[in-house]
Amino acid sequence: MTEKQLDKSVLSKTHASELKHLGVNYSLSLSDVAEVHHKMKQIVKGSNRLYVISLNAMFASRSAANGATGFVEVTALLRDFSQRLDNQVAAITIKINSLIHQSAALIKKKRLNHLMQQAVDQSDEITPPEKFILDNKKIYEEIEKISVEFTRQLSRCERILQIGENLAVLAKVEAVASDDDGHSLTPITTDMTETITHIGECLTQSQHIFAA
Amino acid sequence: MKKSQVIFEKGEHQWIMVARDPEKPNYLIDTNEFVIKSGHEALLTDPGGMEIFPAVFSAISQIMDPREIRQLFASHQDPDIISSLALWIEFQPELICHLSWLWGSFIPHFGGTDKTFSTIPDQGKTFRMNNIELECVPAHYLHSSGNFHLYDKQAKILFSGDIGAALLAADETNFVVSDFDKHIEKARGFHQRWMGSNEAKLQWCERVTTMDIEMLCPQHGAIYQGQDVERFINWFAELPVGLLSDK
Repeated sequence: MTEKQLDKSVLSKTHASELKHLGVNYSLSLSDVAEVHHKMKQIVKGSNRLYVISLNAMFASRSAANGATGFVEVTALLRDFSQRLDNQVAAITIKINSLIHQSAALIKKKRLNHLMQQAVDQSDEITPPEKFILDNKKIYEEIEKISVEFTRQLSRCERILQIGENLAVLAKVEAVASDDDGHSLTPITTDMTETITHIGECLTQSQHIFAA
Repeated sequence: MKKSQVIFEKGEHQWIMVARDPEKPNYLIDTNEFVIKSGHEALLTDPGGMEIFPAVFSAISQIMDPREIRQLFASHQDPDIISSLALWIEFQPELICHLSWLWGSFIPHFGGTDKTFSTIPDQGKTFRMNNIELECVPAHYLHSSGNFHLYDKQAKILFSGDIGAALLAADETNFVVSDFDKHIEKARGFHQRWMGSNEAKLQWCERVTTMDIEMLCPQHGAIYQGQDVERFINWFAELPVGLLSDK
């Protein structure tokens, strides 16, 4: 065997081994990504709902005792919060769209890997071409990059949500303070809290999927 | 990426068209995919080739939860119709694919198991999906020897596979035919070359004339709507097919 042939043979074995180990640490399925995508849509819906509730709360407060000044201020802050959340989710959505596309492309690669692996297993003569391995690595690297950025964006979203949770508590306190016999703002704050809780659940579930 | 658009909606019943990918390489023929939804259950018609799977999947995800797709319908066996099958099954292993019995042992070469396929007899079949009924309409030899279209009576929509197909330029992005006379010239050569039997063609024309169709949705090109449906059927009935031009 010449030196050139030896080099080629070593290289081929490396490729075969690399093929076997491609993506072994990657466990996020396309279905998982679709689930997170769905959760993001629910967050957007929740955020829109919160905006509407806050707007209605402002109108309702007009009939409350002393105009419920404190409550009105909090609902204005909640509307700002909802818009901030919308912006953050918009940034996340760009990432998740990209992740959906790359994950769908990965399924295609995985199928080809599977067929290539079968061929390699059946014959020592067949070795995966270098380009094949490189293309695969590239897509895993791209997904890894997007996933890291996506996780960072989710954490940012979580921090924003904490502000919303605090505002919802504050709204409840102000509502109780302005409630009188004939008029109560408390039910509106229950709606706010429930909506924010739902957004929080969607966010936590998305984080769990990524953490897994 | 491909675009997705709701073309019919009544309550929880929807038809979504997925089409026109400006990033698609020119050597691939452009395709239309349609999602039929009833509540949280959906069927995808002619899901397309393996190459365009990421584009189709992404476009569908923009408008609905793709996990609701539980069934596929393959009008025939061509690669641009169903070569992405293995990828859809990877995503949704329980998926059912409706296809002509004739291709029952050919299409599994693209993927799937013995549980994946629900074959359609030559005379067609009707099946329910949640609250709607879908009818597999025979269109054999147009162009494939085992060929079906899918009719949704409630929506009055016929998915017509390659019939009605037109090869449009990349900048023709309309989902619906707006100028029939202009459009049909882009369909002529395709039908003459691909459709092999005048007898089968007339049988099909006769069959669909009895059906109430508001939209005729081909797998390539744009949708025929309203009076253009009848105009298309008449045009097709008169068109000599099975011709190989010398040009």
